[in-house]
Amino acid sequence: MKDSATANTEDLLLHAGWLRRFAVALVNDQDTAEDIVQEVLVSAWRRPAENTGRPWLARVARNLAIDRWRSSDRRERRELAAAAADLGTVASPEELVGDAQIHRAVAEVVAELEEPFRQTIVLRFFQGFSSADIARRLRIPDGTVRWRLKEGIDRVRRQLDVRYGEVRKNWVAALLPLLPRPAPTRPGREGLRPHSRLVRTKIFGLRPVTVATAAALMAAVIVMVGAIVSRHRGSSLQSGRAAAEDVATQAVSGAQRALRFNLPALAPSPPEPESQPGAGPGQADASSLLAELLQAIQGNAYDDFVAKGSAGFKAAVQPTMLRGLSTNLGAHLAVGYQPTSLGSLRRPGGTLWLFRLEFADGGDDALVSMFTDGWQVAGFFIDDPQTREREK
Amino acid sequence: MSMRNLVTCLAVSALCLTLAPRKPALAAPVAPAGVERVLVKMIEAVKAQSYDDFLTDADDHLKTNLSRQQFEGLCGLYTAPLRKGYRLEHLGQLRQQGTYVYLWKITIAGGQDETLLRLVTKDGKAYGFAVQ
Repeated sequence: MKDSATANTEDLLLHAGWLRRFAVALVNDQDTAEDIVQEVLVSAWRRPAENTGRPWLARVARNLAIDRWRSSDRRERRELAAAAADLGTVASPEELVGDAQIHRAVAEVVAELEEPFRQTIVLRFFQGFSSADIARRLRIPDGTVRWRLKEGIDRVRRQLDVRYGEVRKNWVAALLPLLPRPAPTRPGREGLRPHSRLVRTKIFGLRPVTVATAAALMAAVIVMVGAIVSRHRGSSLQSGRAAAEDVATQAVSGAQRALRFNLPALAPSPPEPESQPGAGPGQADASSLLAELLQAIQGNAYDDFVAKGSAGFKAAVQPTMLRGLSTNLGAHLAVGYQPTSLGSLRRPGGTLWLFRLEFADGGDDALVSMFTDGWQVAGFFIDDPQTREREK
Repeated sequence: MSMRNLVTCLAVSALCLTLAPRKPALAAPVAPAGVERVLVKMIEAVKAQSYDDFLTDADDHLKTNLSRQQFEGLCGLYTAPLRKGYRLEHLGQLRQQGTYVYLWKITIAGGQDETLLRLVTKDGKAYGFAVQ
């Protein structure tokens, strides 16, 4: 696993999923924005999808903000009200989110934070650890972690204030579209959900992404252009709520908005406490792991398939998914194949191993991506044109 | 066999083993020079934020599917990091649906994480480009 303390601006920019999580913390001033955002979210959650567009959200946010402004003279409340009101005139959420300027500004400010605040924020928002996990890893009291987070976030806010001319609404308005918006109300789901669930599972302007056969959420900062957009689909089995968040965040961002997410992609699931940073398989071990997974796919052996998976992987991969994969990919594997290691990439939270499968029938090659977190398999993906054809 | 003959035989065997041609060490895969040149040109175009340069070696399909807005979005994410410098390592290639998919690992200077680049070619032209 990557050393969290070394995360720099580029690291942060290349893996933008964390920004949405961090934006919630930045904008959600406990006394002000959080209440407003909460109420907007709750209200939106209860409304039909067609009524939860930006104008409607902006109107609700504005009204809520104005209510609070009237009841208090706190500066932050006024600013947030102004920011909410500005939603009606600024660019669309997609354009705003796609504005790499704010991404970069936030990433730079975080990267420039003094220690231990940077490390704590990176661990919390970039790597996805809980406060309790951070406390355990750093061997410090939980309360210290929470204080560092609060102080770190406050410092980022102040720095953004400086960059944006001491007018908080400038950058708050730019970050608001990053905040999660609930999915359309579905029949039988009228009850309100806890905020944390909304934040984690529902994304502003985007439904959760599913993959056709594997039905698993795929991920990562992925920019696909041109032919790959329409051609290179595939099946993946991958764990991690963060993966969905990353995909969703990318989905609403400018360049990526026009891109597709039924594409091969992998991202690490949030690191798990039991994983051992720095430890992990070598190339030969990874090849053995792959062989076991492919064998399990061929035999539709669910227990074998998840035996070396992380907890998140086990939770995300259901027997039915493997059954589908086994039916389609397994048939192709049965003709005979030769795996070749293509190397590995260091990624936040682990290692991405790449393999080429050449089939005995002389058909198209397949690309296998296997993500390991320590010794555990945290993600698995096969891009095999023939399997895609079978899925159709 | 006498001891002398045995020693001679062993010595000759050892010499033969020493002089026998060895299996060459596994070398890193090498991308065709032309393909790597195209990739570098596209990366440099992202660095320079030049839409036209990016599409210099693209086929009609890519030109049609990549809007200027998409390209600008790509630049928004990657121009600044790339300008810090980068290192490419060719990982290999695949044959898929009449195209060649070339894979590279790109490491941004000063960064620790590595990113996968795909360049898809068809009939010698850039057919697709992806950053993962």
